[in-house]
Amino acid sequence: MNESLPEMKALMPEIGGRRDALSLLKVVLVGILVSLTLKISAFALFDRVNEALPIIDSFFPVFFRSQTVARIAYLLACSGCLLSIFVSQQKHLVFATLLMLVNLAILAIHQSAYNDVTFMCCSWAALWCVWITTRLNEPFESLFPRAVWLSHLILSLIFLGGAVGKVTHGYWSGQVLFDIYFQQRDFWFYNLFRASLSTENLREAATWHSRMVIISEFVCCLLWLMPAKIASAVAVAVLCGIALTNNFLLFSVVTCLIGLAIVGLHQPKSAQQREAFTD
Amino acid sequence: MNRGWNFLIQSFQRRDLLGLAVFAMLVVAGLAAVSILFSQTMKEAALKRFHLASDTYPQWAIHQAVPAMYNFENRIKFSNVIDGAGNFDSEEESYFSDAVNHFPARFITFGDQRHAFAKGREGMFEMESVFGDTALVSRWEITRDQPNQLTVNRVDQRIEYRDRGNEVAEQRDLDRGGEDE
Repeated sequence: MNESLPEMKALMPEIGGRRDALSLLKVVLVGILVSLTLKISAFALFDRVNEALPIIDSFFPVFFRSQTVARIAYLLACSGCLLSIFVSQQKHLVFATLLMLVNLAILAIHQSAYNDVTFMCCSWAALWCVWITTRLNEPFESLFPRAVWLSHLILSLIFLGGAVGKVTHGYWSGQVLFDIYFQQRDFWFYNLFRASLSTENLREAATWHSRMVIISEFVCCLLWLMPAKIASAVAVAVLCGIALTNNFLLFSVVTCLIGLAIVGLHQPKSAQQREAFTD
Repeated sequence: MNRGWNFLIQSFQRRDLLGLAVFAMLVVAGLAAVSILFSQTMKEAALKRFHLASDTYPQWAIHQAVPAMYNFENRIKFSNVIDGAGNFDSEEESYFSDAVNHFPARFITFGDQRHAFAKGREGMFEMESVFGDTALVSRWEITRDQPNQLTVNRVDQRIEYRDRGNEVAEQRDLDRGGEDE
């Protein structure tokens, strides 16, 4: 009987471990909340336009083109996220994160919001949150590496989706990014290029920049194969780089993903937990 | 790779069905993303997704789980003048043409951009998305059937197979025309 005690103890929830698991969850939740908050002004603008001049596209079911649905979904997604940050009981967390996930998913397929990849990225991050809230009673030394790997797998998928669609002549030649960014985008990074290069060299720079983007995205598809801390550091650097060199508004897309990446940089408190995370 | 095996083994041992389900969803989404490199059917499905032209809305909604940031070579044209033959007059005042990063249909469906483009008026909208040798070209007419409401009418949709010189080698019309509300 006594021999099985250590095994039983290993399966029992640890208060410290649970606190660690909650702190991982809160980091991702804050990332999602920042992403959604950065959307407020854009959301308010298209809400006003859609109200004043609605467009009827029969492709979307009535529910998914209703502006009222979009408004409620946005408010409930934000509320669910905010609530999840401040509650700690597992059943409340499961409810609040599920509320957030369902409403983010509605926005990701709604006529007036589907094009905004913020909601798709937040949905994947929210799915991770729902999952970890169901595992809070698990010993942290087994939960932590799994939580980190799952977050890296989600990030790998996001990068994979971006990389694969660029395997086309327009991106490899740099023409697409030249047309979208290099020619006229008023942003410090592209203004600097235009100010310092001739038109011919600018086109050449667009080619190499585009190839660098494709290669870096393909490298980031492999985050799930990298050592955890390296994967997290690479993901944070690339995600910040995307927003800092293209458009500060992109922080609304990448902040929830940065939250997921930061999970892997967490320092477990006990020596035992550190040992479990040396992979 | 160890981390992945550990995830699976631990999830099975701890009967973490949700964790395994999330893993399965990620694998399926990843395969769907990669499949456009090898499968013509998936390539066309991905292009149709961008033009809100998937066979059914549920199919499109499921496809939305697959990340697609900055995918394909997308261009749009818009003019407040509707031409039955689908020809745009580039000299016309309201004519606009541009390259788009992704989801080109957003220029009509997304409130902010619709407002900037259409300026509340009806018009003709064409989008083209190219991936490798395959292009999808869609033309919509935006009509103002009621004083404060615009309606999307899909008037033309075709898949083009292009050679290296970007010339159309073959074209296939999609049976989506005239889907008005």
